[in-house]
Amino acid sequence: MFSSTEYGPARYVRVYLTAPNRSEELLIPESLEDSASRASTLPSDRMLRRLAKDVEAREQRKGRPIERVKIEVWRTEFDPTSLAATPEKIREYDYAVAGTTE
Amino acid sequence: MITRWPARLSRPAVETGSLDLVLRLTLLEILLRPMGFWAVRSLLLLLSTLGLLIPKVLRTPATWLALTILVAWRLIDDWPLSDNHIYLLGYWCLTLFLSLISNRGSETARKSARLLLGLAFAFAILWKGVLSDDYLDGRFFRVTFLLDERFAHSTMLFGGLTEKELLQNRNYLNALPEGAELLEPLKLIEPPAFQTLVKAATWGSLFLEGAIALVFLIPLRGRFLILRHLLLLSFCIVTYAFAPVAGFGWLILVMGLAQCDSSQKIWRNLYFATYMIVLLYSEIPWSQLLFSLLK
Repeated sequence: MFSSTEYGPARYVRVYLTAPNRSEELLIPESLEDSASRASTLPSDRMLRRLAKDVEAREQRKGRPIERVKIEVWRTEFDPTSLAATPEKIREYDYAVAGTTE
Repeated sequence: MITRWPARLSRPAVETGSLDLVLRLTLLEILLRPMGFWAVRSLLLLLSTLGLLIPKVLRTPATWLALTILVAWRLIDDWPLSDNHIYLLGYWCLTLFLSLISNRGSETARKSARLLLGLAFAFAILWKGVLSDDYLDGRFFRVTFLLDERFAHSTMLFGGLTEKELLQNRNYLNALPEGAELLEPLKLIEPPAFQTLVKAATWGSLFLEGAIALVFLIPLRGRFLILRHLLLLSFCIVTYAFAPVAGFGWLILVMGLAQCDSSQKIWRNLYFATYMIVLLYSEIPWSQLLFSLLK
């Protein structure tokens, strides 16, 4: 804390869903904010898998079929002189929902 | 030996002397900043309240062991989101538990607090000065002062920015999607006062925190011991006027207080007064009030 710009809001995740007849980016709903925060803070396989499973569970609760969850973890880089902000992808994770074909 | 442990855990320390206030202010900090999910939070609040009201509970090692376990539970449950000072609180509760079961409680707490403080500040310096690639060049405070809402009024007050300019800077700092460009690019506005504020915060923090790490880690004697109190109190009075992390401030003040024995009344009172000042800092939006007054 108080030593780097790379904390909290400077990191975020983008989640993409693939299902029969649809492929879309999911705007992180409140119910997924906690696991999304954990995944962006520590983008390990375990945290990303947990987020992907939460996304899968949410889609299933809503009765929507789902095949894959793709998660990207991004951070914002600030230029040392101009402070121009540039997004940088730091991790990508692909999760195939059990029972779906690769 | 094992059969004696339950008795030892539940037996209140007979002589806690100068440690009493340290224990009380630690419990007060837990009460002022409730944490964790419902089970952890309710038990922490219950134990802290009982500890403040009942001296036996306050001085019983089992109380501090339970607090250590509860804070550790919160850290595990919240992993990896907890603020760094919650880890320090966990170490501190463990320290107080060990102090209360030792034969020389105040002495054990004093030595442990000195090392915890020294190491906490040494690691802060390691991050700021070596591991972070955007602290020394000023980027951290430039970005934080502009983007963190909690610093907004201080930034306008001391950085010479208007509300409109601050808003424009925030828009400027929004990252655009890859390849995207604005039709009319925004400009970053950093008046000389803002640049001075950034430099003062960057180098002032580094110098003060480095000095604190040094005086707490090297063995000092006699009149040089005053340096520890002076630097730690100065750090808290200046930093927590701006930094929105009163919980950390209270914790390091309590550790500083643990350095004082019963005869050092002036220093003990100064630590207590600073604890109260940090409390006021955290509850009174002084920069917002001052900004509105001067506007």
